[in-house]
Amino acid sequence: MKRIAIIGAGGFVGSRIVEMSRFSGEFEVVPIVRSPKGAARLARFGPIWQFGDARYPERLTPLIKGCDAVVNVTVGEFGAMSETTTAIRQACVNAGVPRFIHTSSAEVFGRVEDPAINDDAWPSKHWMPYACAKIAAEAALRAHFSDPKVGCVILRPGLIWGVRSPWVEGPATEILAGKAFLLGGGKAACNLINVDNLIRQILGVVDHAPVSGCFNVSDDESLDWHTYYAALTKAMGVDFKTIHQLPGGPYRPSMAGRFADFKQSALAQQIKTRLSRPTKLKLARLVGKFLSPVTVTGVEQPSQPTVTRATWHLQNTVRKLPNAKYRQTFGRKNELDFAAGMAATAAWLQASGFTAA
Amino acid sequence: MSAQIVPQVLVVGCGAVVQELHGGALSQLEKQGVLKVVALADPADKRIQEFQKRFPAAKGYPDAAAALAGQHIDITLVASPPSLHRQHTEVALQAGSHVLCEKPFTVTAADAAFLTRLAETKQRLVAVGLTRRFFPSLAMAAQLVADGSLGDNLTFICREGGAFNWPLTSDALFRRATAGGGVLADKGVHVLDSLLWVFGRMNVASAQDDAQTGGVEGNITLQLAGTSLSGTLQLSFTQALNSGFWISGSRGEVWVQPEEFRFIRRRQGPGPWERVPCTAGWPLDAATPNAPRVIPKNYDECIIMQWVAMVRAVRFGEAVPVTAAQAEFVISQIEEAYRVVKPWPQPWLSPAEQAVATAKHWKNS
Repeated sequence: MKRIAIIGAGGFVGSRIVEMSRFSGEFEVVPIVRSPKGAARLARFGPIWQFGDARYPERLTPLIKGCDAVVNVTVGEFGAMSETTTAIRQACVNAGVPRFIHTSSAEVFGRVEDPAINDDAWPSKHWMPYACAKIAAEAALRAHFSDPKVGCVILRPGLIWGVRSPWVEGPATEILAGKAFLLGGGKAACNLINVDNLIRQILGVVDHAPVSGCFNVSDDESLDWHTYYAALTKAMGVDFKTIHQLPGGPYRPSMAGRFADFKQSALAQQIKTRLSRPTKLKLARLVGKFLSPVTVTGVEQPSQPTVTRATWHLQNTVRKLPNAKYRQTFGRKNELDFAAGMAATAAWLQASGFTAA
Repeated sequence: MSAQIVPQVLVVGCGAVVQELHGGALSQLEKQGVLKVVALADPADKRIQEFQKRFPAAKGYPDAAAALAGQHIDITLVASPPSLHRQHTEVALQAGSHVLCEKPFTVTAADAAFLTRLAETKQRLVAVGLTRRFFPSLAMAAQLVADGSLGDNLTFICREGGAFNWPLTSDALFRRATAGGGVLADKGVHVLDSLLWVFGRMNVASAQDDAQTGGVEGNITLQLAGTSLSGTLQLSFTQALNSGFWISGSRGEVWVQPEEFRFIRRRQGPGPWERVPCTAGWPLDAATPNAPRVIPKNYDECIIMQWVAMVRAVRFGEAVPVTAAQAEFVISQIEEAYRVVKPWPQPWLSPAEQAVATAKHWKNS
């Protein structure tokens, strides 16, 4: 049975890998989390986690010894992503682990405007701090592709959706609040991969002889945002007509949009890591008061959507990334189609209260 | 105690809850001369030194007993890990100190009952830190239920869920031996106390959770029932839920949103919700017997009000918001839930996964 170390096991993807391992018994995991709070999603299985800071190879090395693969599903601080990725690979070298699977993101290619982009293309500059961090981490890892000591695989998933996904919970919350929107009829590409398909593709790499390379991974279907939101509203029992239909065209931020954009900026991320919790709360309250004064009483007014640069960007994705290279190399197919994935997601949404009142 | 005497405070446990929540309130109240932090007890010197930056006059001690020996302490804040609450509260009561104990009061109802009796014997106050008792929205919901504004045959849904994001310094919260359970023992203490406040006593009719052998639950659903009252409580510290507290009766509905405690939403029939400001308040003045009541502006102010209420209880004999006996009842309900709990249905899993999840449920092993 294959033994896989999961760095970032307390996150959304990491905890689902652990859950699949425990329920299927097909593979063993070594769940590694950075801090005690990261253990929350694993706690129902008992104290199975190990503490390890991915920035320090010497600390990771003893934890991953004897594993067939190490999977990096950390997010962490954007500024440390490249350093962390390099450190995990070094730990693999030290521990003699033959495979390192690094989850990057399809976002490194932005809106995929160039039809010639393929798996081996080099991502260019990006405005989004998250994508910049992913690009830097990819570059750091690609520098080691020719080193045969560890096979390094970079997987580039699109938006990871499915049960417990932030890409389900976020839109569902917006839909219930009457704040969800589609730009330009929602005709742009929605580059999705179900979390279970992603994990099966990770397992495909683990089962294969060690190789190095970059691979775009996604669901089989080519969907647009209209189709995704229509399926979500149907799963929630909400009228699709409650979704605001906003015109396409260039990005024109509102005041709330500008603030949301700032929150996602590199500067804001740096500030956030340096502020104490009470200071963060005070700042959030001040900004909240400014953006939506709490003196409003009386009958609730219809909610208005906030378009941010990130949501505008995603809803203006030009095309789906090619994903044939993965299948040609590893031979693994997706197990879940969109309908089956949405049926499971619908069951989860209903159990979590994300339904029409 | 005279209003001129400044209560001497001992803080037992200088971890995240003290650093993040109590520190600011204690610092502000000390500057106002309401109380004085004179001693800090924690086995970790580093945590004491960190907290001494705010309270340089406070002396550090390796444990609660050492801090209480040879000096008079009026109020002890017990903020150590939950499994140590009984021991530290007992030591403080035996030394003649009143106690403000962080939630959960104790891990077992038997321990809570023991401390309730000990406090009575020693004629000391024990209050439990459940700051939601200072939420105007919950006060208004309790008032609307009590005065019959919502009518009869009440039903409710209360959901609280999200990925755990508290800066813990240890993983004790995720082990049954040290925490007594999972999300119900943690977040559930707050929510069950709020339900007790709003509706009075209810009983656990059934419970379902996702804990596996050796683990603690990250998700739990309880069915609760009282006189002409029933409802569902759902909690998670692993995933998002559509969080909120909805009460429905024959004459109307109320919706309390967790992040907006100065307002509630009301409606009669299927029409739009109306946003209504809440007017309940609590004193911010610890020195005047009939001090004016103030509506808290934010969560930090709720914590300050909790401390003011504690000092006022010691000085003027006013009731503390959550007594040891009330906390004991909540813990007994948690124990009952764990006694009757069954596997949580997870229909989004494959049939094979569901079968394993059920077979490995902690009550089936």
